Amino acid sequence: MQRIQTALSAFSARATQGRRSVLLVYSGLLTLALLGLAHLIAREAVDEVPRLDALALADMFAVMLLGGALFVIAPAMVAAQVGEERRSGTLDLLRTAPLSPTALTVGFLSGAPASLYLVLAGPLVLHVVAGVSGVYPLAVLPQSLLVLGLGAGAMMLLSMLAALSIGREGPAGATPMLVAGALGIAAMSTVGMAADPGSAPWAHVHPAGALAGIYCSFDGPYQHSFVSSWRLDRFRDAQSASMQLIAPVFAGLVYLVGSAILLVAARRALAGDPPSRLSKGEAIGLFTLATLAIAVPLRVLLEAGMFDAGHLAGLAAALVPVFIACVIGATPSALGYGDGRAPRLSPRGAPLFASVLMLGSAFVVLFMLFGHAFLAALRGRHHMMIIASFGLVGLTLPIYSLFSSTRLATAAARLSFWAAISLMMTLQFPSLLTLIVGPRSGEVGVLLAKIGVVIGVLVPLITALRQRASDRRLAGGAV
Amino acid sequence: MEKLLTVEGLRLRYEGATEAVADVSFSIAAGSIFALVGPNGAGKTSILRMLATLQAPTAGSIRLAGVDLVADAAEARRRLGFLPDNFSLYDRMSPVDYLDFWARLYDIAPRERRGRIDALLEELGLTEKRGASIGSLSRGMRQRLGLGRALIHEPKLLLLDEPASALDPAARERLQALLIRWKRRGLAIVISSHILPDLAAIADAVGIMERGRMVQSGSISEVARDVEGGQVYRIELVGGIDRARKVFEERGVNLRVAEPEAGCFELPLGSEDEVAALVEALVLRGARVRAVRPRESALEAVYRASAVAEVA
Repeated sequence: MQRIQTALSAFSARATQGRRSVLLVYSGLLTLALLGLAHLIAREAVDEVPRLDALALADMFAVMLLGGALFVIAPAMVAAQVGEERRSGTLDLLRTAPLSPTALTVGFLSGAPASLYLVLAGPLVLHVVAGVSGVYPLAVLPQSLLVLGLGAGAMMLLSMLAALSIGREGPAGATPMLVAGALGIAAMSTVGMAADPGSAPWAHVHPAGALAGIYCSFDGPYQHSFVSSWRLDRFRDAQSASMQLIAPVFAGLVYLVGSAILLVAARRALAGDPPSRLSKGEAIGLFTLATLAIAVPLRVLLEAGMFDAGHLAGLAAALVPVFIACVIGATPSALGYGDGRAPRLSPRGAPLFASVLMLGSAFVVLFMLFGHAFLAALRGRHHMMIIASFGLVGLTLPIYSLFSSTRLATAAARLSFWAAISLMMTLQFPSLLTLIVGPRSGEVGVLLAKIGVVIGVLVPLITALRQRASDRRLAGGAV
Repeated sequence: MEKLLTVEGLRLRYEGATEAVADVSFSIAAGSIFALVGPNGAGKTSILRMLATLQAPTAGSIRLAGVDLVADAAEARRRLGFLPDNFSLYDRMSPVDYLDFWARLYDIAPRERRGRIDALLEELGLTEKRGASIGSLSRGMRQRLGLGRALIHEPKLLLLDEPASALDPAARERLQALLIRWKRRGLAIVISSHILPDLAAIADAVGIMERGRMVQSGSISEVARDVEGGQVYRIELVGGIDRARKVFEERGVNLRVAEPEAGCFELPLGSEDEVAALVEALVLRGARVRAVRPRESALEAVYRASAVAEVA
């Protein structure tokens, strides 16, 4: 604990030394600007929106600012700092200080965005004051603070792990932009989802969506501004109300467990160069957690009679990138993989068996949540075959991942390889759907679909055979 | 003398690769400098990274002042300072803020922190630059600041990886003076470098690395004694050259370079006693000796002999 305090003190002092007062003045000015803007808008809109409270409006602006800063900008700052320290070699120097990997992680999370934290102090105080003064239900305050704190922690750990995963000579400079871009898109998407009763239960997968969900749940300026008037009734029914009550806690739990897994992985990456960024257990755990986070709301929709095929496609679309990220995270580096003879579930082992377990755990979660209702829903519409096909395509991912990490030396070669594979896999899906659901474009369409499937079988097969030959050569060399 | 650092049977093997470090053992006493020399890829940096706790050894033990470096890395880190090759600093910080950051990481109390930083900046000749941006410092100043960072917590062992590379002669001289001063205060230093004359001037002991193995180790005089053929000396005469040649023939000396017209001879001699005996014989036989000086440092002789032996 003392080491964590030491890291907190040293890293935050390094980031803000001699600038604390200035940053706090900026924070105060920013808060005043938010209040002024809210007051101006409230006065102008008094005829259109009766009882529009300037403090409530200022609070809404403050929360939007806090969410954007903590869920998008702060993670990008952490990624930038970690990437730069890693590239320049100062991270190695920090590793010679008497800090545990946890303390070092806390140091980066507190230090890299320390100036941002100071600037956000005013808006945070504004949010708390608004909550205490009763401009929104009191229960919203702990919920929003929970989501802000745990969500920011999870997003920053995720971005830190991303920065630690890019090769030392790789495109480290692009990592913060990629992180900010990915998190920003996810934030905007989930904020939009939070305002639609059909997709609102899924908004909580990203903390920005969770925060928007909390503010959509009560009669205030956010609900009036972002939820269509004809949807308001559906937002206020009992089912939605109960979901909105437990959603922030559920989301907080997901961020907490996710953060714990990411922290273990980040600790290991900071302690040295591990064979793979995620252990096989962590990859399986993260994917199962993501499945839970995305599938639990499906049950609410199912019971409300709102479940349809679109939701199933949404489930698959949301899980595919998580699956890819977990597979890549569990794939060992060329050095870690060695001669390819390590046990299948060790960090040095090939990721194929772990991927089977990941998909298996996802199906177990889905079956436990939905049981026969889920299977019945699948049976009628070829969904089982579609998911099985997607699963089979998914199992080719570990082959490509291992091949790229052990056979391709440069970042450019890996990027080109993944671009080609992504294009091929994107073309696979229409082929599979054509063959499963039925031809809609005549014999030529079916022929093209069959060619697509043959390519989809041959490419992973050839890749696997080349990998196998490489393993044998390495094993022969080692002997 | 009690050993501060004891390394026994150290090994490092990367998966699927040959051994980077193979069965290396050595020890160092407080107040001494141990030089690690050898060609690129010999394993010097790997040894320093293991000593700095950045890399866990595959086998072997490292004990620093009674602390097991592998089992209790955090405690060991309080007792060692490390300056790697091609290190980076935080260019936008000032030297005083930089040292303050590191002092905080080592939990040094605020009052003591200020005192130590002031004293270090003074000793390193950086007091005038204390508030300047690190990015504006010269290479030599950055090197000294890096040393200050490694010493801010007053370690018992200092690890330096090629500290003099890319420094100009004046900066190298200044670095040598600092290292000798710290050695006299009881600091143990392990230093890896290609600049053998500099090392010879300050090192007490040497370990010669070749393909992961330590092919020679011990005090420089001990190791030099074992060098086949001995250290090469240059003898300059102003008269009696023919008589000198006769002395060399009688003693079976293997002349490396002979320029009788210039009165210069280069020959390997095993020890300083042998040098004295040869000079006495030359003088007694009427040769007029102007100068006798080593053609290479003892360390260079040791390294040359080891490299020759490896090639053979």
